[in-house]
Amino acid sequence: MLPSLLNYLKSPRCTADEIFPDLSAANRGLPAITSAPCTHGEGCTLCADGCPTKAIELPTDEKPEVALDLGKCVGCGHCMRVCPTKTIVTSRSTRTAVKRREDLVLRAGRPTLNVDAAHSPFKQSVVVRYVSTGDNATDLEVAACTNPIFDASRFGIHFTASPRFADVLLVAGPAPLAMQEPLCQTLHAMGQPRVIIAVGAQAISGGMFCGGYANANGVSSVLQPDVWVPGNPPHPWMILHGLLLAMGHPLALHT
Amino acid sequence: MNTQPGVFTGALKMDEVPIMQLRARLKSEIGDGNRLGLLTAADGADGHQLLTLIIQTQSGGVSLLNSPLPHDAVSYASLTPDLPQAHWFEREIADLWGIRPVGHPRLKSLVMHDSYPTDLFPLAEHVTAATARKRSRRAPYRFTVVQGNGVFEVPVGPVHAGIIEPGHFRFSCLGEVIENLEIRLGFVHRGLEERLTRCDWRMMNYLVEAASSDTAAANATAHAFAMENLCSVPAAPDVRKMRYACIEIERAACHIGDLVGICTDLGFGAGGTAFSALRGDVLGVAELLTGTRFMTSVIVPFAHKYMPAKPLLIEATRRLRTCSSQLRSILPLLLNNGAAIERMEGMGDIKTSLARDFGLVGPAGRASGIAYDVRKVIAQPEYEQVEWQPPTYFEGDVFARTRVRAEEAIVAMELAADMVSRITSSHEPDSSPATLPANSVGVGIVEAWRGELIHLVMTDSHGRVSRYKIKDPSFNNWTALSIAVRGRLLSDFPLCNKSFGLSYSGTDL
Amino acid sequence: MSRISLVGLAVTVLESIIMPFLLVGILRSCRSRLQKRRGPRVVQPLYDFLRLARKQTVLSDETGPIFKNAPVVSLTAYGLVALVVPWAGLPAPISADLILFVFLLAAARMATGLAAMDTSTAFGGMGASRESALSIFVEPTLVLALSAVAIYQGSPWLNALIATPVSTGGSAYVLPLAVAAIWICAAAETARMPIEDPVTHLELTMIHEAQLLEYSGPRLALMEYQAGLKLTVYYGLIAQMLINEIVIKTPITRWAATTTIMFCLVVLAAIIDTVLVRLHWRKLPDLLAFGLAFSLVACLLAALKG
Repeated sequence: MLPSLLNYLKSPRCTADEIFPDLSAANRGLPAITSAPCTHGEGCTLCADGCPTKAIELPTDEKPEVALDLGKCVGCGHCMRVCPTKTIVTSRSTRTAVKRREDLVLRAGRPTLNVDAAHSPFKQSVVVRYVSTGDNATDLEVAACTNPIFDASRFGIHFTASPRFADVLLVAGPAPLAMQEPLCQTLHAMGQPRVIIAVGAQAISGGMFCGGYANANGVSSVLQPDVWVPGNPPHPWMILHGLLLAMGHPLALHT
Repeated sequence: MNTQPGVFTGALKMDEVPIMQLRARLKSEIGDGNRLGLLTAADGADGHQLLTLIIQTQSGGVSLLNSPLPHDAVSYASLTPDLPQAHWFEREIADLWGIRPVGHPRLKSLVMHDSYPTDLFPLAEHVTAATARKRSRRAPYRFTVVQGNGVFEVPVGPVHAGIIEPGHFRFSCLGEVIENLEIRLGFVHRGLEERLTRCDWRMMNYLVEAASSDTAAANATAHAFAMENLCSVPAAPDVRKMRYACIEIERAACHIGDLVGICTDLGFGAGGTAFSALRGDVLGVAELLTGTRFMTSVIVPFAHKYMPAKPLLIEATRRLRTCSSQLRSILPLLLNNGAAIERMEGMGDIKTSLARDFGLVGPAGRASGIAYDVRKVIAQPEYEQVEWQPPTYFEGDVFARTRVRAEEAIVAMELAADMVSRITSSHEPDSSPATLPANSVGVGIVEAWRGELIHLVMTDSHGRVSRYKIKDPSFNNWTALSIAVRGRLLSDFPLCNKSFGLSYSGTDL
Repeated sequence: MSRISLVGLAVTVLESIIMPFLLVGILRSCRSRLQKRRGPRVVQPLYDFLRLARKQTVLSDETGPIFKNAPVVSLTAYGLVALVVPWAGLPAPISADLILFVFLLAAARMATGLAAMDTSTAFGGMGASRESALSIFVEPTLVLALSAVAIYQGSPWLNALIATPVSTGGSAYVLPLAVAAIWICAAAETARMPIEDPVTHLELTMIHEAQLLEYSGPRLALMEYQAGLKLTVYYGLIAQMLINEIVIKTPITRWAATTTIMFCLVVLAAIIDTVLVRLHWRKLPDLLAFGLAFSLVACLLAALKG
């Protein structure tokens, strides 16, 4: 054991130095919409046909541009792959969290991030109560935020067992019926000021579960999230972006 | 009728066993080297039917029995008294179908909580008025009460302290000693099986990946095999290699992730750091091969999406071998650490006989002397290229489970490296049929990182998916956790729990 | 009051405000570095305190007056502890004997324990029960270890620590043994490894923190500050005993040496936190019994010399 321990002590620091780097080139990323004109007028429906969660709204006469709801997107990569006109392309940015649900609906020429340097009581220190409601991949990615590589603690972010200690309620999973009351109870055990973050497509819209008898339609059916983090599951950097955005941290605000 | 769902054999034929004889049949078949794969219900031609999947752990064959219930019947004689493995399956059937196993020793709801209407049995669709009248409403949930001087209850959850899934643990304690633990799940019941029969079959893979999203690759693979067997369309060899490689990478990443968890529960910061850095590297390989850290949306029936090019495959092989040797070099931190061993040894032990009765699967089973591993039992040529043995121990304690998982992670990375290096083309084949065959059954069984994972798909006379059943490995293992902590201290629970590493969402569906 | 004691009072008060934050900050920062992370800034505990101080308090319906007032009671107790122990390297502003010190610690522990039970939650009761069980070992160890020092110095007053002569012969072992015993007490009292994992999120394994789970807002801030103060006083006390092995001339050098040793102790605690595995609950008495044995032997050695 001792040689391993000595090796460990000699090893360099793991923490990533670059904050919010783009995802690696191998990563499929999330879709983004460019201003390249869509050929839907010529009968192309390739992207919407293969979208498992119907996240893509094709242009109509009233709305002449294609819209893509990142809150529903499960990140399968279908649309970015089939789009013949490069209207839908890949974005590997990890600054994906937004403060308004409607900002997740991507349209051509619109920035994906609304910058809002509001005063925040948590700029230097924030305590997070995480509640999983049925998406354990996101659990792992949230846990990864606390590991030495992503190291949320350097931003003053800590996870806690007690909702009484917490400022942020971080919710993942589609919030099915049996979890709705525990969610509300957790929120009510938290003092003001507090922030709710919905993390992952399942938490935002229910993802593929939407519409069933279990009411697994996302967190917004019970709570009003203040920050939304798309992805299925979101990359730890994206989750950290959501957390820093909730803190009003300057790193999260500039794009 | 026997078939081998790991290799391609096509659709499964069902054996009809009258419900009155089912109990005797199972009693004679199971235990004799055979295990109960799954027990569930489905709508038949005339009322409900029970489906039983039996796995021959010696020959690797499976047989599917169907036992139609008499017209309008909503109850049958419970199988649990003879077959403890059926315990949770029967509770689930009662919840989702309203079919009552008469004589079940501890019948209470499993996944349907009191927040649902008490007359909602979501999967029973073709219900006649007579059946509906006969079905009794679901009773409110009652915890088992342990009585006696000084016994007190510690309720934990559903919202847990750590960054984990929700579930409720009701400890009945005498001082620090746990007298009884009742595990109440179902908090993340999302109605998955109902959603699966409602969605387009081409989109089902996205849903099964979310069944237990940390096991996305294994679920997608089991689904793909089930669909391919249903349609009698075999997958291309490269596609199979890629799928199995994904499962092995998932296994390595998850086992290493749980080693981090074990170190954290031991309060061993150095170990936690070393393993979590390595886990990041393994996820990096997954990202390289599939485009995501959790390998979602690549494993689909009849094809493989985003087949990587040769240089990427070579790079992935190299990185997997590095990770495997790195894991070997850091394992002594935990496994040769006297203080850590003292905490793990003899803790939360499950005896082999108990493990057999409950039908334990995966690392938990192998730590208790049950050598059953789908990769060995059901012939899969991809796994026969390298000499390997699933690690098996007999102690059944936390230390045995930890060692099994550590050794499996090493083997998994070597197997994955071998499979990836054998993939020859980056061409993406697609052999999807236009429609699904009518009145067919397909089964896919894989060894997910938690153990045996079964997907069963049935189509109706129009070729629509009428029943889809997922049996997550955790389903078999939860009861063992509550037995393992009996007589232990409250503060030992987190370590025992982590050594099992069970999925809540996979069980609740 | 002489000028020296006024300066002593001012320094002690100032340090008991700053040092808890600083020591906890350094400890966490060191632990992070040992875990190969960048980790929080050293001032992070102060930010945490300020955030909690501004936050709304949430009280459950079950909690009563004991829960609400306990933080102030225990703060008073720890405040007095900080004034009676010469932990800063200067004579303590209030002269007291070792029994008062142990009594004040017990009073604070009782306040916290009662408050935890007042929440009528399973975890509160569990935490209180565990903390009291530990104190069965901690208190006698502390009394005996300090008694050994008192016998050795020939004075039960804590301030005598400042003027202890350099030890020789068999009695040279008195102070090291007492230090070892108090270090074990400090680990148990300040929730350090291998007795309690300070970074755990799991209520089921918590000892001290399980008692605080229901606190929120300013009360929680007070509780966290007190935990830091307790750590500071313990490490300062240990520093006083270690320092006697070095010949110190002036109060200034003594103060500087004390502070340096405290920082070193914090780094040592961070290393222990990283490389050790938490002991099983049933093994804790073994470790604490070592502390008790050390203090007993120290007592005997000191008595033999006398």
